[in-house]
Amino acid sequence: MRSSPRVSSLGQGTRGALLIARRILRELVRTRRALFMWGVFPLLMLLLFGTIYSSGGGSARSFDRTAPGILTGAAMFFSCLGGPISILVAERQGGTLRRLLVSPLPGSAYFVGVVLAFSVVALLQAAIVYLVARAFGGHYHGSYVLGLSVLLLSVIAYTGIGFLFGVSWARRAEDVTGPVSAVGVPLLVLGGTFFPVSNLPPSLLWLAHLNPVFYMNETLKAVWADGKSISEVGSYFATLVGFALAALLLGALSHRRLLRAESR
Amino acid sequence: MSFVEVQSVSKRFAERVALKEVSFAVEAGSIFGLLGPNAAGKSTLLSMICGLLPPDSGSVRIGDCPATRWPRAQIGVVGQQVAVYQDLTVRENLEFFAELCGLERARRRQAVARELHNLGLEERSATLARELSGGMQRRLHIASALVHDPPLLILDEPSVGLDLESRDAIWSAFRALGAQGRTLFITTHQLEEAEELCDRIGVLIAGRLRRVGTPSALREALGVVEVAHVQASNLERVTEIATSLHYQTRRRETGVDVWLPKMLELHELAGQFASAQITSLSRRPVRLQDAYLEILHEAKSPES
Repeated sequence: MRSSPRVSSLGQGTRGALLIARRILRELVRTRRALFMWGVFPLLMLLLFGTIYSSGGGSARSFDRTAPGILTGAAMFFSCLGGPISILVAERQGGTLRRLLVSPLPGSAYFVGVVLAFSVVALLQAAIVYLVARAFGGHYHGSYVLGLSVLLLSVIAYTGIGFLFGVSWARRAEDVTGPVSAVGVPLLVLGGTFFPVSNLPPSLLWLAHLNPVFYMNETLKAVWADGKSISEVGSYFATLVGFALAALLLGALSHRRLLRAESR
Repeated sequence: MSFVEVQSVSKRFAERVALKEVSFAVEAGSIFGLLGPNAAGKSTLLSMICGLLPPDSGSVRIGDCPATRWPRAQIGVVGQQVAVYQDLTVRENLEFFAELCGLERARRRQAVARELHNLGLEERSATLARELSGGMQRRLHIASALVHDPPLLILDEPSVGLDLESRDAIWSAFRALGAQGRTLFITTHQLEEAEELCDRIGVLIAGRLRRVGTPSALREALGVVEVAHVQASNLERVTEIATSLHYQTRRRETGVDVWLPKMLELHELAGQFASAQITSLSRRPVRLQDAYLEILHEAKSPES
C-alpha cells in the first residue's frame, strides 16, 4: 500500500478499493458473528423504541420517527465505526497491513475499500430497519437518493473517525470496545438516537449541535419520516457534509501516520 | 550484473545508529543471505530494499532505479510474521494477493495453481488459513508472496518455526526460484540455512557490514581446516597447549574448540593434548557458524 500517487492510477486505485471491500465482506460473511449482531441489534432496538414511543401501541408514525435514528445513530455507529477499528487492529496485529504496504495498492484505495465494504453493511442494516418499520405500517416518505446520500456521508464520517481511533487508541483487539463505548455512547445519547434532542436541557442542547450523530439522525429523520427535500434540510445536510469531510481528512491523516509507523 | 545495489547507506533513529556506511551488491539471479544478531539493522535494511524507508545518506537501487521507485508488483516480501487472512481459504488468500499485484483472471488462475503445487498446498486449497498447522500457514505465507512471480524476493527469516519437512519443501522452492533466475535476499539466524541456500553472505553487526563473501570464502578467511572439540579434566591446560602450538581456541560450554590450520590424525591430536587429561576428542570440518562466531567475536573486541 503506497501513500505516494506516483505509480497509482485511478483504475488501479478503483480495482484495489473493490478488492479490499470484497475481501472484508467475504471475511464478514465467513465469520457471520459480527454480521449477525449488526443485523439483530437494529432489529431489536427498533422493536423496542418503536413500541416505547407508541406507548405500547406500535403505531406506524412512531416507527417512522424511530427508524432513522436507530439506523444512523445506533446500528451504523457500531458497524461502521467499530467495524473499521476492528479491521485495522486485526490487520496490524496479523501483519497483513505491512504486506499491503509493500504491494502496489495505493494508500487511499485501502480507505475507500473500507468505506465501500461498510456502505454495503449499512445498506443491509437499512434494509432490515426499513422492512421492520414497514411491517409495523411505517413508510419511507422522502427521496431515496437523499436518504442514501445521508447514509453514505454517515459511513464516511464513521469510517474516518474509526481510522482515527484505530490508529491512535486501539492497538490490540481488547482496546476496541474502550473508545467505542467511552466516546460512542455519550455521542449517541446527545445525538438523539434513543430519544428526541428536544428532551435535552439547554445546557446540553448546544453540545448536541456539535455532534455529527445529531446531524445524521435529524437529517435522515426529516427525509424519512417527514419527506423533506434537500432545500428543507439544506443546513443540516451541509453540516453533515462538513463533518464527513473533516472525518475523511482526519482518517486520511491517521492512515498516513499508520503507514509511516508501519514502514519502520 | 548487480540487481540490488546498496551504496554507503546510513540511517539513524533519534540517537540510535541503525546502519552505518553499508555497501554491498546482489547479483541478478543469485541468493544473498544477510546474517546478524538481533538489532543489527537487518530489518531496517530490508525496509529500505522494499522501498518503505529512505536512507539518511547513500542509496539503495534495484535494477536501474531507486528502491523507492521500484514497482511494488515486482517484489515479493515474506516477513517474519505469518501474514495471511485467517478467515479466507488458502486459494482465496493466493487469489487476493495475486489480484493485488494486478494479475488478470487467467494468469491469476495459473499462478495460484502453480504455487499450490510448488508449496505442497493443493490438498488444502479449500481450507481456511486459520485451520492450517503453523508450518502450512508459513507455506501459504510464502506462496502468497511468490504468486505474482516477482523477479526479486525478500525473505525475512523464512523458515523460522518450521518442521524439517516444511523447511525442506521451502528450501527446494527457493533453490528452484534461484535456478529460474529470480534474485533472493534472505535474512536468517539459521547458519545452516544460509550455508545451504546462499551464493553470497553478508554479516551485519550493530549497523555495520563486517564481511561479505561466499560461504566458502568466509570459512576460508578463518585460515582453519578443521575444528577439534576437546573435553578434558583440565581445560586451562588445553588452552595453554593450543596457544603454545599457535592454535586458536574458543571456550565453549562443553569444552574447548581448537582451530586446526592443517589436517591432523586423531592420534596425533590426542598426543598433543594428552597432558590435559582428555575425556573426549572429536573433529569436524570448519563451518560457516565458526566464521560467523569469529566475526561476532571480532566486532565485540575493544579494537573494533
